[in-house]
Amino acid sequence: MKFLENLILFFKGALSFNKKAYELIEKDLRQEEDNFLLAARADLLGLNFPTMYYMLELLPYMAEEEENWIKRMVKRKSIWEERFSDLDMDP
Amino acid sequence: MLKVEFYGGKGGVGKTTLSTARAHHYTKLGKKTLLVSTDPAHSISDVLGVQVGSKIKGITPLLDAIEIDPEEEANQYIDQIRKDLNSILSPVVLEDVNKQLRAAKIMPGTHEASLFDKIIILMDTYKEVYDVMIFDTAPTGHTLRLLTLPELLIEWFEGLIKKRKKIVKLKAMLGLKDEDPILIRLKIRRDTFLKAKEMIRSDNTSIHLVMNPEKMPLEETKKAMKFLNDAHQPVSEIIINKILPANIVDPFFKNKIIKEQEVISEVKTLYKDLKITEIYMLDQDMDSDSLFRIIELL
Repeated sequence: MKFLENLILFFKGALSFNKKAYELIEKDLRQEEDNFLLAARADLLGLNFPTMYYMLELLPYMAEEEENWIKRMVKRKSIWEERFSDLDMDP
Repeated sequence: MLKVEFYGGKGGVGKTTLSTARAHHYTKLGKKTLLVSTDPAHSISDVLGVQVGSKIKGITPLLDAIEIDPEEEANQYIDQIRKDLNSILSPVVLEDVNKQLRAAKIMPGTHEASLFDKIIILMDTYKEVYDVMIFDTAPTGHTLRLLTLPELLIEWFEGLIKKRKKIVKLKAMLGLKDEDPILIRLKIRRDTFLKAKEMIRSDNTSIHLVMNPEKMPLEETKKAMKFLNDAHQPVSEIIINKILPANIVDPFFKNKIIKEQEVISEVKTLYKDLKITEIYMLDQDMDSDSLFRIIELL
């Protein structure tokens, strides 16, 4: 029985490790997606970029993402909350 | 191999006249030629005596012409995007995106980009059809930017592609789809600009600056020469247009002729290695009838 308990504990640990790793990658991904949107669509925040015209053709693929991004960028407070939660802390 | 010539210079110096004359000159040599006007204030129709427009039009058996309309090109591009937007389901987002597209039509930079795109498309699509393509460009600053635009855009796109690749990699680690339409589009664009850069840099592409024998056009030519030199985009010819004939005896013009000759010799000393072409002023206005007199001078 002891062995079985240990086995369960082991898998719990292993799985939660996986979960943690998964979350870390997800966080990285979110950050990278934000970075990309800033580089690609800063014109939506009022900055003029030479590639503005060419970014329009990406709209069919990222319009929904952009919409959320703009909302998040506008609500700065929620960005801080996001960053703090990245560090497992309260703002 | 397609030969491409860009004609640039200050406003009113005679770019349109000379590029049209050059186009005729090439057709006389039996070359199939396309004359392209990129100046928003199109005037090749006036010189040719034929209404040209934004579609390629046959002028003579060997000469075709087109006046690019950046507004029309931008509208086509944006309308195509609107069609591609069907994949978006949320009506709220769609409405916002449509607003964005409407704004894009009048945004600064839009016409410049759509004009540039059309130039690349013409150079690429018709490279087998024509022997020579002649671009009559808008006044200097505009032209200079146009010629150096690919460089700038390639760098931007390289940066975006790098960022996008990172995202695709992270998504793959999470077991998400690895084919990314955004990355594909970015790469297509970058490759188009690489091709444009290659075509503009090619030995078969040349830049011709037109000026008048006066101080101000000279200064502008000097600036353009410096800018293009810095951008490693060599100029192959300077055309000095509307020079007063030396046989005028009127004292007013005599002084003017001396001044003009000073400018001409300065050009010749400054740019010894370049082809300098001198065109004398005609005693009549430029139109399709007087054009042949210029063609003979080239």
